[in-house]
Amino acid sequence: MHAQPEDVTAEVRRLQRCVNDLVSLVALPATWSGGGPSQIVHTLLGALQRVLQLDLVYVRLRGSDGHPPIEMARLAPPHGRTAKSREIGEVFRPWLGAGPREWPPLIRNPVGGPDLSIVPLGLGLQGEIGEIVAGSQRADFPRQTERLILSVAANQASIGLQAARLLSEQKHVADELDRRVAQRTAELAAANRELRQEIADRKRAEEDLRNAQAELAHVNRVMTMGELAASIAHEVNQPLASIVASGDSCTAWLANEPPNLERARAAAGRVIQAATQASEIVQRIRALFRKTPASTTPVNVNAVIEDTISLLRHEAQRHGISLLTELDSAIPPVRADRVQLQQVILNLVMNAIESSAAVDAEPKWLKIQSARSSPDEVRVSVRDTGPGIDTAHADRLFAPFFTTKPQGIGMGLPISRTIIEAHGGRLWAENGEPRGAVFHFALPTERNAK
Amino acid sequence: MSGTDGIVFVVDDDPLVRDSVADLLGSAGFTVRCFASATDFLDSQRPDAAACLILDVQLPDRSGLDLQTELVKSGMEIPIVFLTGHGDIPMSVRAMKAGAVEFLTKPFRRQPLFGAVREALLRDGETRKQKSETADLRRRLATLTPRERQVMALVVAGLLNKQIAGELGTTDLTVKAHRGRVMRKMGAGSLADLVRMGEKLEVFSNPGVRPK
Repeated sequence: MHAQPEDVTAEVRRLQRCVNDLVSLVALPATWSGGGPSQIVHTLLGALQRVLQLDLVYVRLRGSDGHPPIEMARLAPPHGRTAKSREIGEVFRPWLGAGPREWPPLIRNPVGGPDLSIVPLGLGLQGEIGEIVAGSQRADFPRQTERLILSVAANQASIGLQAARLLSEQKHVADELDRRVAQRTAELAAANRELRQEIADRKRAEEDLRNAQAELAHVNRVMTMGELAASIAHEVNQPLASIVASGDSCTAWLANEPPNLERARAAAGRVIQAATQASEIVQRIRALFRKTPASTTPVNVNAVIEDTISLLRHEAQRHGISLLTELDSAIPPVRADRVQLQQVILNLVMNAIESSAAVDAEPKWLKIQSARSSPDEVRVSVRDTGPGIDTAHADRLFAPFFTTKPQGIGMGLPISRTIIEAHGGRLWAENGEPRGAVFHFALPTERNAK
Repeated sequence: MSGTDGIVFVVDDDPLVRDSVADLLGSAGFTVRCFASATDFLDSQRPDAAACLILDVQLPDRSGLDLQTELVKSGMEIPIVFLTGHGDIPMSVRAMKAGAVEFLTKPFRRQPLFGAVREALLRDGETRKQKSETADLRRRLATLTPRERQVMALVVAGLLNKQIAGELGTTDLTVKAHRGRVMRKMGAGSLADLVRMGEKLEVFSNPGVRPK
């Protein structure tokens, strides 16, 4: 073909513009990254209309799972963006989805004006993504360069949309995964909460049980101390008698002519000594009446025995029973709650006094022994000269509310056993030789206490 | 007499109480001896003087009431003032019935204690006086011959010499001589005196009754 110089110049210019347009279209995907299909279509429409001075450009994307179809159009100014994409789509509807060859070259302009030359292009390899329809009132539309630009744009858009779809699917999968993880997490959290609640409930139940046991133990202690009232009164009245008598004699020595200061001083000394003794007794009694939460410390079992029986000595005497001790001074300390241990000894000795008193046989005695029964265990035994344990009762001995005493509530032994077992020890009974009963309890030494 | 003559025995197992009571009594001029147990007291050598016992009802080796019973049984009667930490009524009744002078509840003041101790010492003084008189009479009675005893018994029973002679199968004169010796040996100033002695010594006419 032989071309005129001015035609050549125009052709060169057109080609130059075409290259520029192509470059700007190729740059489009950079603006799409991470964007959705509507954003891709939106920029694509703008770029094509601007680059090719199109009167109309329309894109329809097929719907896919989870995504509705998208329809967008762009018209040449002054119509601009406010294109009525649905109405435009209606005009193209008969040919949409068909191959580009099926389209007529001219179609009625949906927004009025001369008919439009049409270029339909498929998006995706088989048009499976959707279609672009470009239209111009120019009769020579499309020129070769325009067709090239359109098909490059369509390719770019296809890739971009494909990527967007993939991204969206990935996002969907990720969202689904997130949702499932969240759901499972919630389930686990709920299960956790339930578990925690269960633990709290159980803890509370245990606490309630412990409180009830402590309450019962306290009642038992108070009742036992009530039985001991006469002995305790005696115990307290001893130092009081000494205080009053010494006070009286102190006054008398001071009233002498001349005052006998030496003897008055001695009497005042006895007042102090007796008052100290009285306060110690009161402290021992208070320790037994006190309601304290259990706290374990290293305890010298012999000291607890001595303390407890100091309150019981007169009770034993009152019943004509000799109170004997055989304490091994070499026993190691045990880890125990002192008040509770005192209560167990109190219960066992009171029982021994009562059963020894119930028998006419002489002599009446009870013996408390302490010994290291094994390298890691301390044993305390309380023997009496009472009637012993009736074999018919042996298995109920430690059952709550079982009692052979007219005034008993039958809680002394079960409480004692609970206390000893809570200390990791054992409490048991047997008949003595030649008569009477023996109650033993064994506690782990401090080093072996759990 | 100040009322503090005699010895006060204090038996209490609590050393503080024992010392305090002893010192209080000492401050009022009483002579005091202390014991920690009933056994110690029973084992002790007691001087021949008016005495009383201050006793804790509850002692480690035996109860104060048991000691009281034991003392009465063995004839070592001594007035007892009981001390108790918790004087219950049955115990007090038992103690008072068995001859306790007083039953003091701890703690006690000096005046009730002194009052009780004075009373107890007076009582023991009386008893001892009577006892020593009786013992004296017994010694005199022991110097009588069997025949003189028979005569004394019949005289005390209120028989006349003639009746006694008939009873013994002897003469008035012999009876009169026996009777004179009885009066002299017994130290009786009159018939009434002799009758009183006879009653005290339980000399009766039925044969076989002999003084201890």
